Amino acid sequence: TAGILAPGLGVLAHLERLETQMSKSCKQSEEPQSVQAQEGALGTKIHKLRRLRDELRAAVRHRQASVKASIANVEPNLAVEMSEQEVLEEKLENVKAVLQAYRFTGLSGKLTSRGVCVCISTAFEGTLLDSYFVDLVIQKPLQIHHHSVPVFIPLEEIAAKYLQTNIQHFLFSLCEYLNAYSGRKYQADRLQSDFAALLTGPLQRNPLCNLLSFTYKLDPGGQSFPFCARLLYKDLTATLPTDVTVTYQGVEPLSTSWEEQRASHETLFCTKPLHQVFASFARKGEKLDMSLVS
Amino acid sequence: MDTELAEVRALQAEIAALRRACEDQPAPWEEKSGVQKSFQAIQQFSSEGWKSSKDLKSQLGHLESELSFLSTLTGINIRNYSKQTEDLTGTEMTEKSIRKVLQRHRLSGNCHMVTFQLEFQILEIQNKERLSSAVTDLNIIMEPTECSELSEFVSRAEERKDLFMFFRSLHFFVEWFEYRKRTFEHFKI
Repeated sequence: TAGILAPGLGVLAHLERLETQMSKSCKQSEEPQSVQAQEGALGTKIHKLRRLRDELRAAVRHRQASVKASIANVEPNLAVEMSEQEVLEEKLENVKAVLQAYRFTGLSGKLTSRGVCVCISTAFEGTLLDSYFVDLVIQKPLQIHHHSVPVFIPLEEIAAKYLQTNIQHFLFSLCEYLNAYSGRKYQADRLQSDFAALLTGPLQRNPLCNLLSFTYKLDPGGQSFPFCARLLYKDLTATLPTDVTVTYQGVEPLSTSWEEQRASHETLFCTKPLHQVFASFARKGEKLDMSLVS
Repeated sequence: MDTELAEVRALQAEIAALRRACEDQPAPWEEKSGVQKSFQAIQQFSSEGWKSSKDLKSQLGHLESELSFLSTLTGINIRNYSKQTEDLTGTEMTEKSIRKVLQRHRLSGNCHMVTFQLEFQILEIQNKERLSSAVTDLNIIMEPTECSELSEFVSRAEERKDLFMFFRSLHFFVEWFEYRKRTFEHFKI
């Protein structure tokens, strides 16, 4: 037991040293300083406070351990109860953490007094997007109490097909529709925000983001006429279009090279995400500029 | 600057509380009698505000049934999860009201006989208009390793940094595999 005491005393002395350091730096910060210097001093102060707090936490935990050890000698039952408590607390922390982790599978939820509230997370490739919820009431028949699914997603259709017979299938199907919608919306948003310079008019889109129409030019300052693209996503569970037409808005017929480009763009829009296609246009444009300079 | 000042105040309050907890400790143990020691221990036990076992057990029970529901629903059994957060906001970014945070996640579990371990990073950037969250790194380790179909969608998911696609594919693949196994079993004589 003497061994338990000695480190405890050492920790106290160390803490006292930290505290004197803290009060010294406090005195320093009382002098007038520029805002930047103040913010820097604040950052350092926070850092030191955090250290002091962590040391104190460790000291308290250490003392708790000593208490337990001493009790075990005198009141073994009490010690067992305290250990059980700690085991329960640890289990609780672990379960809470794992519940949080389920959102990374795309589906998570909570039990409610009426049934269950399921949360559907959406993402497009690596980017995490909006979440939607569906609050289900467990009764016969199963009912959707309320939800945050956009009105243009065919929720009733999907529910009619699967909700009563297979909740899992219902939710997986809804997941597909919502993820696809989120992904299409994301691509359209990125096109508008990142590649406005290549668009020669506003991007036209419907709420479901499955019909897009826009005009664009590969060389914004140049003499050529813009291309006009129309993207239709017939499959609402897909993030790539099923029908693409790229047309040329000029009066004269296209030269062979331009015609080849027009055709290749149709293929590109069918096979790659919209904003990535435009990113490749922008890169080609940079290469073009470089050749003009040299 | 406000969030920093708030943090300073919170830290100072916590430090004061922790110091009180340290000071409440009695003098050297060996000098006290056995009965006195246990009295002090019981005092400590209740003053620390440790929740009663009953509360904890019922809370745990409720959360475990939630977990069981999610596990059945998704077909995925997550057993462990931990997360670390690193604030990457520089002073320049704070001036422009931009906040950058890097999260490191680690989770592991199984889907029937397939076990997985994931490590991934999420970068969160908050500016005046919006919050963007993107997976910047994804590493997946699976057992068994010999299955080529499994390895295929695993590498695709890692490449695209697509977490959801990984879990969906895993679930469907294992279901299909189990179904196929049962069908073959059925035809065995």
